[in-house]
Amino acid sequence: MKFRVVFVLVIVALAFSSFGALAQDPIEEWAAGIKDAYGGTEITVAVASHPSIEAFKTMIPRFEELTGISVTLDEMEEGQLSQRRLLEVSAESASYDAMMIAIEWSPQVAQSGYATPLEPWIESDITPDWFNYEDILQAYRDMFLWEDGMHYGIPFAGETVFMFYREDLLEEHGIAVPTTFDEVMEAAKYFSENVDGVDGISYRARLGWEFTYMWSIFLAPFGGMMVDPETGDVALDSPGTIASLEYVRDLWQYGPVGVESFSFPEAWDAFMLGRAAIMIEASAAAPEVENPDKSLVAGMTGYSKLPAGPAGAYSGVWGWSFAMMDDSEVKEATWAFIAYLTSEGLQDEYLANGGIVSRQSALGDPDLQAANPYYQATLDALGQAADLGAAGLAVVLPSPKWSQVSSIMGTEGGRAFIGEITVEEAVASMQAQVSEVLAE
Amino acid sequence: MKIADLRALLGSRFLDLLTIGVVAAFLFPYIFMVSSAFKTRLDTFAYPPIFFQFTPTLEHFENIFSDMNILFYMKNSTIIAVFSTLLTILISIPATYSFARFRFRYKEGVAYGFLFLQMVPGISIVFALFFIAGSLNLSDTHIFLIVVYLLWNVPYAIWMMRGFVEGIPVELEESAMVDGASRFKAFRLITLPLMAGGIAATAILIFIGVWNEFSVAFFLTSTEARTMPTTIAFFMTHSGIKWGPMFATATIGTLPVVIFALLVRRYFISALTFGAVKG
Amino acid sequence: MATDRKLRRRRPPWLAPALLIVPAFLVVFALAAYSAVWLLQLSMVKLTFGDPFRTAEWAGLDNYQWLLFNEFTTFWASLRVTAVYVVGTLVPELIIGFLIALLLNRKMRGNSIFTAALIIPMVLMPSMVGMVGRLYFSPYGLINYFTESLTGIRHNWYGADLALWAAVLVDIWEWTPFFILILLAGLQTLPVEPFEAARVDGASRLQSFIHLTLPLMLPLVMTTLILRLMDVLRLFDVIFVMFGGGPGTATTTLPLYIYRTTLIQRDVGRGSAASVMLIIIIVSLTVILIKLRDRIRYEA
Repeated sequence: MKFRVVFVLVIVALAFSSFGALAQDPIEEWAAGIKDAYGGTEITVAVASHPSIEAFKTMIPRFEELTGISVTLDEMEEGQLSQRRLLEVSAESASYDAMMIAIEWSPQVAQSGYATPLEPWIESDITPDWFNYEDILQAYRDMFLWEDGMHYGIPFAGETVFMFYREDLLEEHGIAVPTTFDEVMEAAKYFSENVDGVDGISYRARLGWEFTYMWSIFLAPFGGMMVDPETGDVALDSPGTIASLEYVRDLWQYGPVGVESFSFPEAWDAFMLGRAAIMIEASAAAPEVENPDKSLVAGMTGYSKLPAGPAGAYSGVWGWSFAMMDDSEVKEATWAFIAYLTSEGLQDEYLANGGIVSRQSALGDPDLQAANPYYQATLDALGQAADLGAAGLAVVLPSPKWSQVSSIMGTEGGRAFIGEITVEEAVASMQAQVSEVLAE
Repeated sequence: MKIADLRALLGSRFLDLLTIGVVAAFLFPYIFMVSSAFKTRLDTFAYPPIFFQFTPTLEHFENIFSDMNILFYMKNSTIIAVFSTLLTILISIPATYSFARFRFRYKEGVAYGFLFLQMVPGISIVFALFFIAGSLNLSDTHIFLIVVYLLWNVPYAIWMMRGFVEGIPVELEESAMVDGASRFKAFRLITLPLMAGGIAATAILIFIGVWNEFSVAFFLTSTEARTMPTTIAFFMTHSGIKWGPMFATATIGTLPVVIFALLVRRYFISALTFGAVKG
Repeated sequence: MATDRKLRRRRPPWLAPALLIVPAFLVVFALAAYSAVWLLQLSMVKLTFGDPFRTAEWAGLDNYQWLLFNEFTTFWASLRVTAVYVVGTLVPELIIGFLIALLLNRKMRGNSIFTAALIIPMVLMPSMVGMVGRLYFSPYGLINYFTESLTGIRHNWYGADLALWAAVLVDIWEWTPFFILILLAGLQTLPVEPFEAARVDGASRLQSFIHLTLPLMLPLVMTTLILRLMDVLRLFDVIFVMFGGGPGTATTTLPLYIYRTTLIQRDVGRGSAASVMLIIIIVSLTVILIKLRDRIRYEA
């Protein structure tokens, strides 16, 4: 163990020392070594359609040229990728060397042994000095941490939730940026009642996963939780849970017409087309909001961390990583591929091609912060997410049963949201069904 | 005729206009959809909607052909639709002939048995099929979809074509057999040519059905055998719904079938109506 | 030739027809039986979608019992949604389709072009139609533009009250032409004599429509309804793409319920049990309607 710490320190020290002096050479030097050892290997990687993958696609040809490893990307839509993974896990065979894994899938691939723990690889000689694992935000790294203390994915696209607001509108109407959820409600009420063509707040609330995603953000600030961190019991019928669901339901009246069927694209569009004053949404929306081809509010939008509820201010993390399949017979080449693409050394190229940021070095860079007004809010929200983790809570239950749990929460919560059943009925149903699922 | 009273009352010119209006109402959403494939994203979202006064763009078509490789999915759809249709017709013709020309016990029972199997919803058995495909090592293959679609298409084809065969006078065959032809020869030389129209009509409906099928294909294919209708999943991306490419794909995916159906509309309508009028 | 006849007679009479049916029978029944066995088996186990089948635990009829009687089940809500959807689509489609068929059943230039144009909605990919519907029915979409222009009101088609009706409208647009074309063919093949006799007897056009056209068309109407009923009951793609079953359970028809239970909630057992019940519903409804139709036809 001591050896490992020393080893990591040495690697980090090496990374820092070599980084200032050299720019391109270390990459080519590393690649030459890889080419000697593993050139000519073929690897297949399953990925979802995602902006970061688009960025990787522009980077892969150089990787192939430098290392002689040839890469086949099997790109599919997220749901298909999820099914593909389920199918492979249930068939107990892997046809890929690496796969893009979301946080909510991580427990299953770790527990089933489908993916391989990455610590030995991070510490191996293959890992280049300019990879710098520790530079990836800890909140993101730990999304793929499993009970055995090992990490099963190298995150490359992190996501958190923060608040988007129209600077111009708030200023025009003399409203301060809300810092509590009560103020959010008031501001939303003001805009939807007083400003023509502008609704108070936009967010996703479509039945199922989307509803769970949005609601999970509101749980902790109101003292709600899915599972009590102390007893391990399901706590979906706790007073805080009820309060948060009631708040979300009450917010509905100030949302855009039809918000109950909004998935994230519709929620973003409402904001980007100037029809909402505030939006509480994923950080992934920010680049879209700032894209003048798609958005009418580019340059008019402010970003802030999430407001506080009665029980505190929290956010959450989600994200994507590369996991390596345990069945892969070319792990060395696969790891070289993962380490290369997600490294600090190639981060500039990655970000320039539209990749989603996930490293401290980029988020803290003053030039990048100036170019991307939402970087500070991202860092702040990640701090709030870390607070959530410190409280023993999470927006994604670290369990292989999470998809069942989130589906139950989304269905019953969604029904209460539109008034089909009462909030009390919804939480009672959730409590019973989730307890049953987790007990199995 | 029957509504001549009304016509006298309102004037036939009015009814003509009404007819045109009704037909236009059914056509309009499709025309608007096709036109949206040529609009920029902000034009698509404009309110009030932009009907004609926009600058057409071909970027979405470039996008789906170069980035999304839509031809690959079109190829898959074509392979699956063509082979499933051919196989269906090949298997169904003998059975159809048997139902139409022979008398045997439990005939109607068996015929209805086929019909009931045709009613099974794809979504009901798709998960069973999912396991079956896995156990046969056939997940995500063309051949599995081709065979699976037979479950719905063969009963449908038998049901349709039986009406067509029964519409051909049996005497024609009998006279050929009296002249010394074998039953098979009589069928091949007399009945088969006469039922060609029926076969074509049935094949058209089956082809279009397979081409458009979603629920089974969506869950049983991923990368290798993915068909056109299931590509909608590609447009729900992490950076929003790609409406332009979606409309472009919808245009590309529906245009061949629309043109095809319009070219063979006589067969199409006869297929559609024959089963019902006869059945 | 005589020996040939004898030979043929010696074979049992059922052999030829049976042999001809065998390929179709094998393919269809093998597929169906294989799937049915799997489906029944899956409906009686506890299994998480994504886990290997060997982890399944026998559950007997628990899944059915849960669906039908558990206090948290939404199966009945989903059944109600399905019923509303079926009636909401079929009745307007029949009435509008009949009226338009009457309208088209006249000598008019361009009639064949009109009928051809009506084919188009039917042959479009339903999944794409659903996506287009999702945009057209959005709060600032095409449909609301028309309703606002005509009535001054923008409706919330995404809301619990209207979402199902938005899906119904899409189906009406797509499939009313089916009724039009079939009923039009029926109208064109009606016998001429009864109508002439009625005219001689001095019956008005309306009277002959009510007493002759409608009864004569009834069996065809029933057949068309049966054909559509089977399709509407198992419709999945359009609603899945437009609303995914929501908001709440507003558009969770049985096929959507099966999808959500099996794939999203990953409860293979309950999803398969719901599948079995959907099949039972479809088959029994169809059998009843076929019986009814045959009785009507017999009486006529």
